[in-house]
Amino acid sequence: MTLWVDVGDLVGYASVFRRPSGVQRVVFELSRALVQDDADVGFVRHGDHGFEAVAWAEIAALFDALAEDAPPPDQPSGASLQLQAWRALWAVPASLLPRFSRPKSAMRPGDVLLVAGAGWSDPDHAAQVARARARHGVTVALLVYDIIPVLRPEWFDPLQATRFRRWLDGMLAVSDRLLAISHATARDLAAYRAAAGMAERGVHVVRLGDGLPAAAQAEKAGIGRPYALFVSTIEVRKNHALLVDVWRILLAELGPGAVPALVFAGRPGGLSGDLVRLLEASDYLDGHVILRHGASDGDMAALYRGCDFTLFPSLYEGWGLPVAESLAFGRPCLASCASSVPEVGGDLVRYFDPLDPEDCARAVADVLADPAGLQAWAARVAADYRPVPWAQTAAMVRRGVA
Amino acid sequence: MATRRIWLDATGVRPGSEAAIFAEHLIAGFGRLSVDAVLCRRDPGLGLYRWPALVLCDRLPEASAPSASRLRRVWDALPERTRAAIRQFVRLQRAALAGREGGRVTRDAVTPAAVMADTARPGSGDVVLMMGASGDASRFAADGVRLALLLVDATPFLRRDWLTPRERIEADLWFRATQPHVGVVISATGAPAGWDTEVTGIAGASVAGSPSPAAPMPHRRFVLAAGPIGAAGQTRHLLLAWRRLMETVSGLPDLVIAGAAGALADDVLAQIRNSDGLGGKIVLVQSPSPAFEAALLRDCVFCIAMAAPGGWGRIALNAAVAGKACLSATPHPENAARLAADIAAYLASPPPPAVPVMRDWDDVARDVLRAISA
Repeated sequence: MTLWVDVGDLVGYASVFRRPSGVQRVVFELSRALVQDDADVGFVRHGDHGFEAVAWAEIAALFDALAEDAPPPDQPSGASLQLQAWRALWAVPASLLPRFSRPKSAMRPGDVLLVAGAGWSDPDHAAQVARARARHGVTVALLVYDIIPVLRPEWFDPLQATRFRRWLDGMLAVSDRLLAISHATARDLAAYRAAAGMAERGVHVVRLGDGLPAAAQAEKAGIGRPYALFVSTIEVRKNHALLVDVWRILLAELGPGAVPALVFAGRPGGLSGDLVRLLEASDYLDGHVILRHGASDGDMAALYRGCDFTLFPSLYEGWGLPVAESLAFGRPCLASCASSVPEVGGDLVRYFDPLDPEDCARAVADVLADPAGLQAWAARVAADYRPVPWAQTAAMVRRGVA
Repeated sequence: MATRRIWLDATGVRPGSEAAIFAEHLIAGFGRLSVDAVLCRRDPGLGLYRWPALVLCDRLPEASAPSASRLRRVWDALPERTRAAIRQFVRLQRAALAGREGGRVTRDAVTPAAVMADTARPGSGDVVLMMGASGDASRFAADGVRLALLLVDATPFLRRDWLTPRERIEADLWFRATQPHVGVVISATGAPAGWDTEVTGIAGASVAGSPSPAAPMPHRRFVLAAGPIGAAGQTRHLLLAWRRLMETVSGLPDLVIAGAAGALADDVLAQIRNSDGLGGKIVLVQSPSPAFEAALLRDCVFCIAMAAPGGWGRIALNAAVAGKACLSATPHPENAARLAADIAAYLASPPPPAVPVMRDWDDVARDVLRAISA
């Protein structure tokens, strides 16, 4: 049995964006682990005539270019030149390149087609998968990260939420195996299926690996003073506004000299305009809030290693990768108790209600008041947290699709 | 010193805002007491000019209420070249008008209301009662004009980060130039920080209108959240709280949010639109008329006064007059978890409505007169 991983959205994403998001990172790390595991694995993307095979070398080059440190603009690196070359090739319709068109995938009955990417960005994706299933007799396995656009449409553009729901319904109708990245997502999925009148079906939970530490060489963070770190796209779901409220409380109660800087590492996303305006109007809480956009993996590793602790106040998650990354770097984390987040860090993380800034401020103030306790906590994290290798994730996926 | 005329300076007061509503009723109260008082605004070129209360307080029907956020979206969607052309047109138009009038012409000054302007200058014995940052009023002091501050909404003093950069600069300039000359501070909302002058507190009166007879929300059982929409009204926290209540409270009523969009309202309004009002559980009524708001109060289960510290308590007063319990979001501002818990407690065991403070606007006007004359 060959496991075919659909990497179509990874390729599409790389054509537009300069940095990998969580989903693309997962697809890449999972694929790499499957390749390293010497498993019977292949990669496909949908082209003009159905699913086509993609060489692993192409995918690796693509992701390396996405995740590398930014080279000087006048000295493009080999990886970024390679990415530009692939982008140029992908932009050419296959019908114009008959001699060089990609080989059709060799999917056969009994094989598994794993959909692990953000397929909802292509309105035809579920139908493509359904056609492949009918034509090749493959088993379709769907890895679900979350169904937040269905549960919390307020955080999404209506078109995006509608696309997601249609894709999800289409994929659930055609999928033979369901995998989820957390028990919380599995519960959400089961509830959604039940509400839609779909037959009950087991959902295999897969623990994601902790990818960043292995990949990144830390540079200097360059903050120049003690800081707390929040790694995430700046969007309303991630709840940056709570931390701004918390820092305002702390500054009023403890005074500016006793409060570390708060670093937001991530690019601005949807529905963040009012927050950015609020920060600008307060002069970033008089310099206590620092924004870092477009950090490379190396920058991110440096930020993790240099921080006193991390924060993760998200309102809803399918998993909570930054919590895992924080623990993998040995940094204590104060996190939201919402949805899947407690599954990530267990009792190594301290939790607060993401709707309650006073609760969070108390938790942070307790940490600031007890430097020795923070040190002991960091030592416990370093000693007790066992980063999950992607090989383990790959093995769980193989079990889940079997 | 006997007061000759009171100039109630409403420069910068947004139509339909809490301050505008206060000004409308106060000027009517002065009128009933036969006090010579005029509602006015100020223009750097024209000076003070009479401003009809109708223009300040009249509200458009809900369906056609202007939406700043909608206009901003349309503006943002225009190509930069188009925006530059429009800016240039406005500049030229203003310059042409300024040339004709022989002075600087502001946007206000070219409205029909400005045509009715009374540019009479306050004289000795007059009192300019300022309701906000209305430019440098210090020059009046030289003419024997007394300056007083009527503070109805202290939010700009409490949360400068909710102001636009331009508003902040204007407020700072005004504060520095005006504060030394202000003899009296009359506050319906507590003392602002930074003022050395003694503050005289006054209480406002209810402004509940006559409710329209028709049911404003037929076939709905609803809680009313009234107040500004955006940061000052904590609408983001209300949305989060209602989402939590939808998961934890069975038989949850709907929520009607009624108010005018203020600062930092774009993202929360987008969330309400994106989710179709959390799947129909939230109804948004922008800039309701007094009669419509009164009808909402009459028919609601209870009322939530959504305002950060700074307002003068209009919603709570109106709720008491309407015989409805009112939950104030102020005790735990910006805390959606506490707000959700408080709402759940109200739903489980509704408290009796507060006993209304039955004072009228003539009393408020008398209080202001006493403070000015002290």
